[in-house]
Amino acid sequence: MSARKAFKKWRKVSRFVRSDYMNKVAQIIERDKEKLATVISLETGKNYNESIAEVNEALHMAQFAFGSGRYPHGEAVSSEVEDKDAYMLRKPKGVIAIVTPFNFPLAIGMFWNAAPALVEGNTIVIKPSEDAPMSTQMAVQIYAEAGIPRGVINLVHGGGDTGDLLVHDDVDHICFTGSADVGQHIRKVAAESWHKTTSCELGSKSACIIFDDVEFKLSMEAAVASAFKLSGQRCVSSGRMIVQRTIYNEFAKRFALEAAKLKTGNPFKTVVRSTGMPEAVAWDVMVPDEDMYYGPIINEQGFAKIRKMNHAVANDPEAEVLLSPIYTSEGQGSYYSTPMVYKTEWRDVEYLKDEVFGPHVAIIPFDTIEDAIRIYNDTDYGLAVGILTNDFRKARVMRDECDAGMIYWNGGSIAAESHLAFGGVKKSGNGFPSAARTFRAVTHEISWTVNHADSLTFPQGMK
Amino acid sequence: MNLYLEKAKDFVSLTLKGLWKALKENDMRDFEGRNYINGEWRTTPEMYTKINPATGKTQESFPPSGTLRLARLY
Repeated sequence: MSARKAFKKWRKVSRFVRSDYMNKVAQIIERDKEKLATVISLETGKNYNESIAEVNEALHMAQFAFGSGRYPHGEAVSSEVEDKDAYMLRKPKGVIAIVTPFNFPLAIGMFWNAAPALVEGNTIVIKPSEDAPMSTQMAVQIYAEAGIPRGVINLVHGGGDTGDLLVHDDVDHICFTGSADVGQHIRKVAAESWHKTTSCELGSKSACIIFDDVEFKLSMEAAVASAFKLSGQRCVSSGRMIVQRTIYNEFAKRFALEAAKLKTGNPFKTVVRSTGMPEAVAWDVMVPDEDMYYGPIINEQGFAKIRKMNHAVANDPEAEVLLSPIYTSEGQGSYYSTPMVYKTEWRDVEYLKDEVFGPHVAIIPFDTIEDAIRIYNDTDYGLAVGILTNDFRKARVMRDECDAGMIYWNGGSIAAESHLAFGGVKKSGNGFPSAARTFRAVTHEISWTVNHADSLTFPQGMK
Repeated sequence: MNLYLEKAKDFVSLTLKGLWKALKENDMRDFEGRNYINGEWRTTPEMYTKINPATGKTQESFPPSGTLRLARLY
Protein backbone atom coordinates (compact mmCIF):
# COMPACT_ATOMS: atom_id res chain seq x y z
CA MET A 1 0.00 0.00 0.00
CA SER A 2 1.68 3.19 -1.20
CA ALA A 3 0.07 5.41 1.46
CA ARG A 4 1.39 3.14 4.25
CA LYS A 5 4.83 2.98 2.69
CA ALA A 6 4.97 6.75 2.17
CA PHE A 7 3.89 7.37 5.78
CA LYS A 8 7.16 5.94 7.09
CA LYS A 9 9.12 8.67 5.30
CA TRP A 10 6.60 11.51 5.39
CA ARG A 11 6.20 11.45 9.18
CA LYS A 12 9.94 12.08 9.50
CA VAL A 13 9.91 15.14 7.24
CA SER A 14 10.11 18.32 9.34
CA ARG A 15 6.71 19.72 10.24
CA PHE A 16 8.02 23.05 8.98
CA VAL A 17 8.80 21.55 5.55
CA ARG A 18 5.49 19.67 5.42
CA SER A 19 3.58 22.88 6.01
CA ASP A 20 5.64 24.71 3.39
CA TYR A 21 3.95 22.63 0.68
CA MET A 22 0.68 24.28 1.73
CA ASN A 23 2.10 27.69 0.85
CA LYS A 24 2.73 26.48 -2.69
CA VAL A 25 -0.73 24.91 -2.81
CA ALA A 26 -2.29 28.23 -1.71
CA GLN A 27 -0.49 30.10 -4.48
CA ILE A 28 -1.76 27.68 -7.11
CA ILE A 29 -5.31 27.97 -5.79
CA GLU A 30 -5.07 31.77 -6.15
CA ARG A 31 -3.85 31.31 -9.73
CA ASP A 32 -6.62 28.85 -10.65
CA LYS A 33 -9.45 30.34 -8.59
CA GLU A 34 -11.89 30.96 -11.43
CA LYS A 35 -11.23 27.64 -13.09
CA LEU A 36 -11.81 25.79 -9.82
CA ALA A 37 -15.03 27.71 -9.15
CA THR A 38 -16.26 26.94 -12.66
CA VAL A 39 -15.70 23.23 -12.17
CA ILE A 40 -17.46 23.28 -8.79
CA SER A 41 -20.49 24.97 -10.35
CA LEU A 42 -20.49 22.64 -13.34
CA GLU A 43 -20.39 19.46 -11.31
CA THR A 44 -22.68 20.48 -8.45
CA GLY A 45 -24.94 23.11 -10.03
CA LYS A 46 -23.83 25.52 -7.31
CA ASN A 47 -24.28 29.27 -7.80
CA TYR A 48 -20.96 30.66 -9.11
CA ASN A 49 -20.57 33.17 -6.27
CA GLU A 50 -20.94 30.31 -3.77
CA SER A 51 -18.34 28.36 -5.74
CA ILE A 52 -15.89 31.26 -5.52
CA ALA A 53 -16.60 31.34 -1.77
CA GLU A 54 -15.85 27.62 -1.58
CA VAL A 55 -12.52 28.13 -3.36
CA ASN A 56 -11.75 30.87 -0.83
CA GLU A 57 -12.62 28.44 1.96
CA ALA A 58 -10.13 25.95 0.52
CA LEU A 59 -7.54 28.71 0.12
CA HIS A 60 -7.99 29.83 3.72
CA MET A 61 -7.48 26.28 4.97
CA ALA A 62 -4.30 25.95 2.88
CA GLN A 63 -3.03 29.23 4.36
CA PHE A 64 -4.06 28.19 7.87
CA ALA A 65 -2.32 24.82 7.49
CA PHE A 66 0.78 26.58 6.18
CA GLY A 67 0.85 28.85 9.24
CA SER A 68 0.25 25.94 11.60
CA GLY A 69 3.67 24.55 10.72
CA ARG A 70 5.19 27.35 12.81
CA TYR A 71 2.90 26.76 15.77
CA PRO A 72 3.29 24.27 18.64
CA HIS A 73 2.13 20.68 18.15
CA GLY A 74 1.81 20.03 21.82
CA GLU A 75 2.22 21.69 25.19
CA ALA A 76 4.65 21.75 28.07
CA VAL A 77 3.13 21.05 31.49
CA SER A 78 4.45 20.73 35.02
CA SER A 79 5.36 17.48 36.71
CA GLU A 80 4.82 16.60 40.35
CA VAL A 81 8.44 15.52 40.38
CA GLU A 82 10.85 18.42 40.61
CA ASP A 83 13.53 17.00 38.31
CA LYS A 84 11.09 15.98 35.63
CA ASP A 85 9.86 17.86 32.56
CA ALA A 86 6.49 16.87 31.12
CA TYR A 87 4.89 17.40 27.73
CA MET A 88 1.91 16.33 25.69
CA LEU A 89 2.72 15.97 22.00
CA ARG A 90 0.57 15.23 18.95
CA LYS A 91 1.71 12.36 16.74
CA PRO A 92 0.24 11.45 13.33
CA LYS A 93 -2.14 8.51 13.30
CA GLY A 94 -0.89 7.10 9.99
CA VAL A 95 -3.01 6.59 6.88
CA ILE A 96 -6.13 8.74 6.83
CA ALA A 97 -9.10 7.70 4.67
CA ILE A 98 -11.17 10.68 3.54
CA VAL A 99 -14.67 10.11 2.17
CA THR A 100 -16.31 13.31 1.01
CA PRO A 101 -19.72 14.70 -0.01
CA PHE A 102 -20.85 16.39 -3.24
CA ASN A 103 -21.90 19.72 -1.74
CA PHE A 104 -18.43 21.10 -0.96
CA PRO A 105 -16.33 18.96 -3.29
CA LEU A 106 -13.22 21.12 -3.10
CA ALA A 107 -13.07 22.62 0.40
CA ILE A 108 -13.97 19.69 2.65
CA GLY A 109 -11.95 16.71 1.45
CA MET A 110 -8.65 18.04 0.17
CA PHE A 111 -8.52 21.05 2.48
CA TRP A 112 -10.52 20.82 5.73
CA ASN A 113 -9.50 17.16 6.06
CA ALA A 114 -6.36 16.60 4.00
CA ALA A 115 -4.40 19.80 4.67
CA PRO A 116 -4.23 19.35 8.48
CA ALA A 117 -3.68 15.61 8.06
CA LEU A 118 -0.65 16.20 5.83
CA VAL A 119 0.90 18.92 7.99
CA GLU A 120 0.57 16.62 11.01
CA GLY A 121 2.54 13.92 9.15
CA ASN A 122 -0.18 11.57 7.93
CA THR A 123 -0.65 10.25 4.42
CA ILE A 124 -4.09 10.12 2.82
CA VAL A 125 -6.36 8.14 0.53
CA ILE A 126 -9.35 10.20 -0.61
CA LYS A 127 -12.59 8.95 -2.18
CA PRO A 128 -14.68 11.87 -3.46
CA SER A 129 -18.43 11.75 -4.02
CA GLU A 130 -19.28 10.09 -7.32
CA ASP A 131 -21.64 13.03 -7.89
CA ALA A 132 -18.80 15.60 -7.77
CA PRO A 133 -15.39 13.99 -8.34
CA MET A 134 -13.75 16.57 -10.58
CA SER A 135 -12.94 19.28 -8.04
CA THR A 136 -11.15 16.72 -5.88
CA GLN A 137 -9.10 15.50 -8.82
CA MET A 138 -8.14 19.09 -9.62
CA ALA A 139 -7.13 19.61 -6.01
CA VAL A 140 -4.95 16.51 -6.13
CA GLN A 141 -3.36 17.90 -9.29
CA ILE A 142 -2.61 21.10 -7.38
CA TYR A 143 -0.90 19.21 -4.56
CA ALA A 144 1.07 17.22 -7.14
CA GLU A 145 2.15 20.44 -8.84
CA ALA A 146 3.23 21.78 -5.45
CA GLY A 147 5.60 18.82 -5.22
CA ILE A 148 4.07 16.61 -2.53
CA PRO A 149 6.09 13.36 -2.60
CA ARG A 150 4.64 10.29 -4.25
CA GLY A 151 2.40 8.08 -2.16
CA VAL A 152 1.57 10.82 0.34
CA ILE A 153 -1.71 11.62 -1.45
CA ASN A 154 -3.78 8.97 -3.17
CA LEU A 155 -7.11 9.37 -4.96
CA VAL A 156 -9.62 6.64 -5.74
CA HIS A 157 -12.86 7.36 -7.58
CA GLY A 158 -16.02 5.35 -7.14
CA GLY A 159 -19.33 4.97 -5.37
CA GLY A 160 -20.37 3.63 -2.01
CA ASP A 161 -18.77 0.24 -2.65
CA THR A 162 -15.38 1.92 -3.12
CA GLY A 163 -15.85 3.93 0.07
CA ASP A 164 -16.77 0.78 1.95
CA LEU A 165 -13.67 -1.05 0.71
CA LEU A 166 -11.55 1.92 1.70
CA VAL A 167 -12.80 2.20 5.28
CA HIS A 168 -12.41 -1.57 5.75
CA ASP A 169 -8.85 -1.42 4.44
CA ASP A 170 -5.56 -0.77 6.22
CA VAL A 171 -6.27 2.79 7.35
CA ASP A 172 -5.92 4.34 10.81
CA HIS A 173 -8.49 7.11 10.82
CA ILE A 174 -11.53 7.91 8.70
CA CYS A 175 -12.68 11.47 8.01
CA PHE A 176 -16.22 11.16 6.77
CA THR A 177 -18.67 13.86 5.75
CA GLY A 178 -22.08 12.72 4.56
CA SER A 179 -25.30 11.12 5.73
CA ALA A 180 -25.92 9.99 9.29
CA ASP A 181 -26.68 6.42 8.18
CA VAL A 182 -23.36 6.00 6.37
CA GLY A 183 -21.58 7.73 9.26
CA GLN A 184 -23.04 5.20 11.66
CA HIS A 185 -21.88 2.36 9.42
CA ILE A 186 -18.34 3.79 9.33
CA ARG A 187 -18.28 4.13 13.11
CA LYS A 188 -19.26 0.45 13.40
CA VAL A 189 -16.46 -0.53 11.00
CA ALA A 190 -14.00 1.40 13.16
CA ALA A 191 -15.38 -0.13 16.35
CA GLU A 192 -14.69 -3.61 15.00
CA SER A 193 -10.98 -2.79 14.78
CA TRP A 194 -8.59 -2.01 17.62
CA HIS A 195 -6.98 1.04 16.10
CA LYS A 196 -9.32 2.85 13.73
CA THR A 197 -10.84 6.14 14.79
CA THR A 198 -13.33 8.35 12.98
CA SER A 199 -14.35 11.96 12.69
CA CYS A 200 -17.83 12.17 11.23
CA GLU A 201 -19.64 15.29 10.05
CA LEU A 202 -23.20 14.20 9.36
CA GLY A 203 -26.66 15.55 8.66
CA SER A 204 -28.83 18.00 10.53
CA LYS A 205 -32.19 19.61 11.01
CA SER A 206 -30.70 23.03 11.56
CA ALA A 207 -32.74 26.10 12.31
CA CYS A 208 -32.96 29.85 12.78
CA ILE A 209 -34.62 30.94 16.01
CA ILE A 210 -36.09 34.41 15.62
CA PHE A 211 -37.16 36.57 18.55
CA ASP A 212 -39.44 39.57 18.17
CA ASP A 213 -36.82 42.09 19.35
CA VAL A 214 -34.46 41.66 16.40
CA GLU A 215 -34.35 43.80 13.25
CA PHE A 216 -36.80 42.27 10.79
CA LYS A 217 -34.49 42.82 7.81
CA LEU A 218 -31.62 41.01 9.52
CA SER A 219 -33.77 38.03 10.41
CA MET A 220 -35.15 37.81 6.87
CA GLU A 221 -31.69 37.91 5.27
CA ALA A 222 -30.39 35.26 7.66
CA ALA A 223 -33.42 33.04 7.16
CA VAL A 224 -33.50 33.15 3.36
CA ALA A 225 -29.77 32.48 2.97
CA SER A 226 -29.80 29.69 5.57
CA ALA A 227 -32.74 27.96 3.92
CA PHE A 228 -32.00 28.25 0.23
CA LYS A 229 -28.27 28.66 -0.49
CA LEU A 230 -27.15 25.61 -2.49
CA SER A 231 -30.83 24.57 -2.85
CA GLY A 232 -30.93 23.74 0.87
CA GLN A 233 -28.34 21.00 0.28
CA ARG A 234 -25.83 22.18 2.90
CA CYS A 235 -25.58 20.01 5.99
CA VAL A 236 -26.25 23.21 7.97
CA SER A 237 -29.22 24.38 5.88
CA SER A 238 -32.14 25.60 7.96
CA GLY A 239 -35.23 23.51 7.35
CA ARG A 240 -36.92 25.16 10.31
CA MET A 241 -37.65 28.80 11.13
CA ILE A 242 -38.67 28.88 14.78
CA VAL A 243 -40.34 32.27 15.21
CA GLN A 244 -41.77 34.10 18.23
CA ARG A 245 -45.56 34.10 17.95
CA THR A 246 -45.82 37.89 18.26
CA ILE A 247 -44.21 38.28 14.81
CA TYR A 248 -45.06 34.84 13.44
CA ASN A 249 -47.70 35.70 10.83
CA GLU A 250 -45.86 38.74 9.52
CA PHE A 251 -42.57 36.81 9.31
CA ALA A 252 -44.18 33.84 7.55
CA LYS A 253 -45.87 36.06 4.99
CA ARG A 254 -42.70 38.02 4.20
CA PHE A 255 -40.52 34.90 4.13
CA ALA A 256 -42.82 33.22 1.61
CA LEU A 257 -42.78 36.38 -0.53
CA GLU A 258 -38.97 36.51 -0.46
CA ALA A 259 -38.74 32.79 -1.27
CA ALA A 260 -41.09 33.23 -4.22
CA LYS A 261 -38.71 35.83 -5.72
CA LEU A 262 -35.71 33.49 -5.83
CA LYS A 263 -34.56 32.44 -9.27
CA THR A 264 -33.80 28.76 -9.68
CA GLY A 265 -31.84 27.34 -12.59
CA ASN A 266 -28.55 26.57 -14.30
CA PRO A 267 -25.69 28.52 -12.68
CA PHE A 268 -24.45 29.42 -16.15
CA LYS A 269 -26.10 31.17 -19.04
CA THR A 270 -25.02 31.44 -22.64
CA VAL A 271 -24.46 34.87 -24.13
CA VAL A 272 -23.34 35.82 -27.59
CA ARG A 273 -20.07 37.70 -27.89
CA SER A 274 -18.62 39.24 -31.00
CA THR A 275 -15.52 41.07 -32.09
CA GLY A 276 -17.57 44.22 -32.67
CA MET A 277 -15.78 44.73 -35.95
CA PRO A 278 -17.36 44.98 -39.39
CA GLU A 279 -18.28 41.45 -40.49
CA ALA A 280 -17.96 40.56 -36.85
CA VAL A 281 -17.38 37.03 -35.75
CA ALA A 282 -19.88 35.96 -33.06
CA TRP A 283 -19.70 33.02 -30.73
CA ASP A 284 -21.45 31.64 -27.67
CA VAL A 285 -19.88 32.18 -24.29
CA MET A 286 -20.84 30.47 -21.07
CA VAL A 287 -20.92 32.99 -18.19
CA PRO A 288 -22.18 32.81 -14.59
CA ASP A 289 -25.84 33.76 -14.25
CA GLU A 290 -25.71 36.23 -11.38
CA ASP A 291 -29.49 36.36 -11.06
CA MET A 292 -29.67 32.66 -10.32
CA TYR A 293 -30.01 32.15 -6.56
CA TYR A 294 -29.84 28.39 -6.45
CA GLY A 295 -29.41 25.52 -8.86
CA PRO A 296 -30.48 21.92 -9.30
CA ILE A 297 -30.89 19.07 -6.85
CA ILE A 298 -27.83 16.87 -7.13
CA ASN A 299 -29.47 13.60 -8.23
CA GLU A 300 -32.68 11.64 -8.62
CA GLN A 301 -32.44 10.10 -5.15
CA GLY A 302 -32.20 13.51 -3.47
CA PHE A 303 -35.00 14.85 -5.63
CA ALA A 304 -37.25 11.89 -4.75
CA LYS A 305 -36.77 12.52 -1.03
CA ILE A 306 -37.66 16.21 -1.39
CA ARG A 307 -40.79 15.36 -3.37
CA LYS A 308 -41.81 12.76 -0.79
CA MET A 309 -41.47 15.25 2.09
CA ASN A 310 -43.23 18.02 0.12
CA HIS A 311 -46.06 15.61 -0.68
CA ALA A 312 -46.43 14.70 3.00
CA VAL A 313 -46.77 18.39 3.93
CA ALA A 314 -49.28 19.09 1.14
CA ASN A 315 -51.46 16.21 2.37
CA ASP A 316 -51.29 17.15 6.04
CA PRO A 317 -54.32 19.21 7.13
CA GLU A 318 -52.37 20.56 10.10
CA ALA A 319 -49.81 22.26 7.84
CA GLU A 320 -50.66 25.48 5.98
CA VAL A 321 -48.75 25.69 2.71
CA LEU A 322 -47.69 29.25 1.86
CA LEU A 323 -45.61 28.47 -1.21
CA SER A 324 -45.96 25.29 -3.26
CA PRO A 325 -42.95 23.93 -5.14
CA ILE A 326 -42.73 23.74 -8.91
CA TYR A 327 -40.59 20.94 -10.32
CA THR A 328 -38.74 21.48 -13.57
CA SER A 329 -35.95 19.90 -15.60
CA GLU A 330 -33.49 21.02 -18.27
CA GLY A 331 -33.15 17.51 -19.57
CA GLN A 332 -33.26 13.92 -18.42
CA GLY A 333 -31.16 13.64 -15.27
CA SER A 334 -31.58 17.26 -14.10
CA TYR A 335 -33.97 18.12 -11.30
CA TYR A 336 -35.09 21.51 -10.01
CA SER A 337 -37.48 22.47 -7.25
CA THR A 338 -38.66 25.94 -6.32
CA PRO A 339 -39.14 26.50 -2.56
CA MET A 340 -41.72 24.77 -0.40
CA VAL A 341 -42.73 27.01 2.54
CA TYR A 342 -45.38 26.18 5.12
CA LYS A 343 -46.66 27.07 8.60
CA THR A 344 -47.19 24.48 11.30
CA GLU A 345 -47.21 24.04 15.03
CA TRP A 346 -44.38 21.82 16.29
CA ARG A 347 -45.43 18.19 16.00
CA ASP A 348 -43.96 14.71 15.85
CA VAL A 349 -43.95 14.17 12.06
CA GLU A 350 -41.17 12.95 9.81
CA TYR A 351 -40.85 16.06 7.66
CA LEU A 352 -40.31 18.26 10.73
CA LYS A 353 -37.75 16.02 12.38
CA ASP A 354 -35.75 14.46 9.53
CA GLU A 355 -33.36 16.11 7.15
CA VAL A 356 -34.93 16.93 3.78
CA PHE A 357 -31.79 18.33 2.09
CA GLY A 358 -33.67 20.62 -0.24
CA PRO A 359 -35.56 23.93 -0.45
CA HIS A 360 -38.18 22.86 2.09
CA VAL A 361 -38.90 25.13 5.08
CA ALA A 362 -41.27 24.85 8.02
CA ILE A 363 -42.17 28.02 9.94
CA ILE A 364 -42.95 27.09 13.52
CA PRO A 365 -44.21 29.43 16.28
CA PHE A 366 -42.96 29.60 19.87
CA ASP A 367 -44.22 31.52 22.90
CA THR A 368 -41.41 31.42 25.45
CA ILE A 369 -37.66 30.92 25.35
CA GLU A 370 -38.17 27.52 26.96
CA ASP A 371 -40.53 26.64 24.09
CA ALA A 372 -37.94 27.69 21.52
CA ILE A 373 -35.27 25.55 23.14
CA ARG A 374 -37.59 22.54 23.45
CA ILE A 375 -38.64 22.75 19.80
CA TYR A 376 -35.10 23.25 18.54
CA ASN A 377 -33.69 20.34 20.54
CA ASP A 378 -36.56 17.95 19.74
CA THR A 379 -34.80 16.18 16.84
CA ASP A 380 -32.07 13.56 16.74
CA TYR A 381 -29.66 16.09 15.22
CA GLY A 382 -27.56 18.94 16.60
CA LEU A 383 -25.41 20.79 14.09
CA ALA A 384 -26.05 24.51 13.53
CA VAL A 385 -28.44 27.16 14.75
CA GLY A 386 -28.80 30.89 14.17
CA ILE A 387 -30.07 32.83 17.18
CA LEU A 388 -31.63 36.14 16.19
CA THR A 389 -32.20 38.44 19.13
CA ASN A 390 -30.89 41.74 20.47
CA ASP A 391 -31.21 40.50 24.05
CA PHE A 392 -27.77 39.31 25.21
CA ARG A 393 -29.26 37.37 28.10
CA LYS A 394 -31.53 35.35 25.81
CA ALA A 395 -28.64 34.76 23.43
CA ARG A 396 -26.48 33.37 26.22
CA VAL A 397 -29.21 31.03 27.44
CA MET A 398 -29.73 29.77 23.89
CA ARG A 399 -26.00 29.25 23.47
CA ASP A 400 -25.90 27.10 26.57
CA GLU A 401 -29.13 25.16 26.03
CA CYS A 402 -29.27 24.45 22.27
CA ASP A 403 -27.82 21.12 21.09
CA ALA A 404 -25.47 22.31 18.36
CA GLY A 405 -21.84 22.44 17.38
CA MET A 406 -22.12 25.80 15.64
CA ILE A 407 -24.20 28.59 17.15
CA TYR A 408 -24.34 31.93 15.38
CA TRP A 409 -25.77 34.87 17.31
CA ASN A 410 -27.49 37.28 14.94
CA GLY A 411 -26.53 35.19 11.95
CA GLY A 412 -28.14 32.34 10.09
CA SER A 413 -27.12 28.70 10.34
CA ILE A 414 -24.55 28.96 7.52
CA ALA A 415 -21.33 30.79 8.37
CA ALA A 416 -18.46 28.27 8.54
CA GLU A 417 -14.88 29.52 8.52
CA SER A 418 -11.80 27.35 8.04
CA HIS A 419 -10.09 28.45 11.25
CA LEU A 420 -13.10 27.49 13.41
CA ALA A 421 -14.24 24.04 14.49
CA PHE A 422 -16.96 22.50 12.31
CA GLY A 423 -18.96 19.66 13.79
CA GLY A 424 -22.11 18.69 15.59
CA VAL A 425 -23.56 16.70 18.44
CA LYS A 426 -26.08 13.84 18.67
CA LYS A 427 -26.76 12.38 15.20
CA SER A 428 -24.81 15.22 13.51
CA GLY A 429 -21.33 14.17 14.57
CA ASN A 430 -19.17 12.23 16.95
CA GLY A 431 -17.30 14.90 18.87
CA PHE A 432 -14.34 15.32 16.53
CA PRO A 433 -15.01 18.50 14.58
CA SER A 434 -13.56 19.19 11.15
CA ALA A 435 -11.78 22.27 9.71
CA ALA A 436 -9.62 23.87 12.44
CA ARG A 437 -10.01 20.83 14.69
CA THR A 438 -9.00 18.24 12.09
CA PHE A 439 -5.46 18.76 13.40
CA ARG A 440 -6.60 17.06 16.61
CA ALA A 441 -8.74 14.37 14.99
CA VAL A 442 -5.89 13.01 12.85
CA THR A 443 -3.36 12.86 15.66
CA HIS A 444 -3.08 11.11 18.98
CA GLU A 445 -1.61 12.85 21.96
CA ILE A 446 1.19 11.22 23.83
CA SER A 447 2.64 12.14 27.18
CA TRP A 448 6.41 12.60 27.11
CA THR A 449 8.28 13.02 30.37
CA VAL A 450 12.00 13.52 30.88
CA ASN A 451 13.73 12.63 34.13
CA HIS A 452 16.81 14.84 34.75
CA ALA A 453 17.73 13.24 38.07
CA ASP A 454 20.06 10.28 38.54
CA SER A 455 17.53 8.47 40.72
CA LEU A 456 13.88 7.49 40.29
CA THR A 457 11.07 9.43 41.96
CA PHE A 458 7.46 8.39 41.44
CA PRO A 459 4.52 10.79 41.43
CA GLN A 460 1.74 10.57 44.04
CA GLY A 461 4.35 9.89 46.72
CA MET A 462 4.71 6.25 45.70
CA LYS A 463 7.98 4.57 46.84
CA MET B 1 -3.12 48.39 -46.48
CA ASN B 2 -6.83 48.03 -45.62
CA LEU B 3 -6.79 44.46 -46.83
CA TYR B 4 -3.93 43.63 -44.47
CA LEU B 5 -5.77 45.32 -41.59
CA GLU B 6 -8.93 43.32 -42.24
CA LYS B 7 -6.96 40.09 -42.41
CA ALA B 8 -5.27 40.99 -39.12
CA LYS B 9 -8.66 41.67 -37.48
CA ASP B 10 -9.99 38.35 -38.76
CA PHE B 11 -6.97 36.57 -37.40
CA VAL B 12 -7.38 38.18 -33.96
CA SER B 13 -11.09 37.44 -33.75
CA LEU B 14 -10.71 33.85 -34.87
CA THR B 15 -7.85 33.35 -32.44
CA LEU B 16 -9.99 34.76 -29.63
CA LYS B 17 -12.82 32.44 -30.58
CA GLY B 18 -10.50 29.48 -30.63
CA LEU B 19 -8.94 30.53 -27.36
CA TRP B 20 -12.30 30.70 -25.60
CA LYS B 21 -13.35 27.35 -27.04
CA ALA B 22 -10.11 25.86 -25.83
CA LEU B 23 -10.59 27.37 -22.39
CA LYS B 24 -14.11 26.02 -22.17
CA GLU B 25 -13.05 22.61 -23.33
CA ASN B 26 -10.13 22.70 -21.00
CA ASP B 27 -12.50 23.20 -18.09
CA MET B 28 -14.62 20.18 -18.73
CA ARG B 29 -14.54 18.34 -22.01
CA ASP B 30 -10.88 17.47 -21.84
CA PHE B 31 -11.24 16.42 -18.24
CA GLU B 32 -10.24 12.81 -17.78
CA GLY B 33 -11.22 11.02 -14.62
CA ARG B 34 -8.27 9.12 -13.17
CA ASN B 35 -7.15 7.59 -9.93
CA TYR B 36 -3.93 8.95 -8.44
CA ILE B 37 -1.91 6.19 -6.85
CA ASN B 38 1.65 6.44 -5.60
CA GLY B 39 2.32 9.58 -7.65
CA GLU B 40 0.90 8.18 -10.90
CA TRP B 41 -2.35 8.95 -12.72
CA ARG B 42 -4.04 5.67 -13.56
CA THR B 43 -7.20 4.67 -15.33
CA THR B 44 -9.06 1.39 -15.76
CA PRO B 45 -11.02 -0.13 -18.64
CA GLU B 46 -14.27 0.26 -16.71
CA MET B 47 -15.69 3.73 -16.20
CA TYR B 48 -18.78 5.35 -14.68
CA THR B 49 -20.40 8.47 -16.05
CA LYS B 50 -20.70 11.81 -14.29
CA ILE B 51 -23.82 13.83 -15.12
CA ASN B 52 -24.06 17.65 -15.05
CA PRO B 53 -26.95 18.11 -12.61
CA ALA B 54 -27.95 21.40 -14.24
CA THR B 55 -28.47 19.93 -17.70
CA GLY B 56 -28.53 16.17 -17.30
CA LYS B 57 -25.79 15.91 -19.92
CA THR B 58 -22.79 13.64 -19.57
CA GLN B 59 -19.70 15.41 -18.22
CA GLU B 60 -16.94 12.87 -17.83
CA SER B 61 -16.16 9.26 -17.08
CA PHE B 62 -14.38 8.04 -13.97
CA PRO B 63 -12.84 4.73 -13.01
CA PRO B 64 -15.11 2.79 -10.63
CA SER B 65 -12.37 1.76 -8.25
CA GLY B 66 -14.69 -0.32 -6.11
CA THR B 67 -14.86 -3.06 -8.72
CA LEU B 68 -11.14 -3.62 -8.30
CA ARG B 69 -9.14 -4.63 -5.32
CA LEU B 70 -8.27 -1.40 -3.57
CA ALA B 71 -5.22 -2.96 -2.00
CA ARG B 72 -3.72 -3.31 -5.45
CA LEU B 73 -4.57 0.28 -6.27
CA TYR B 74 -2.84 2.15 -3.48
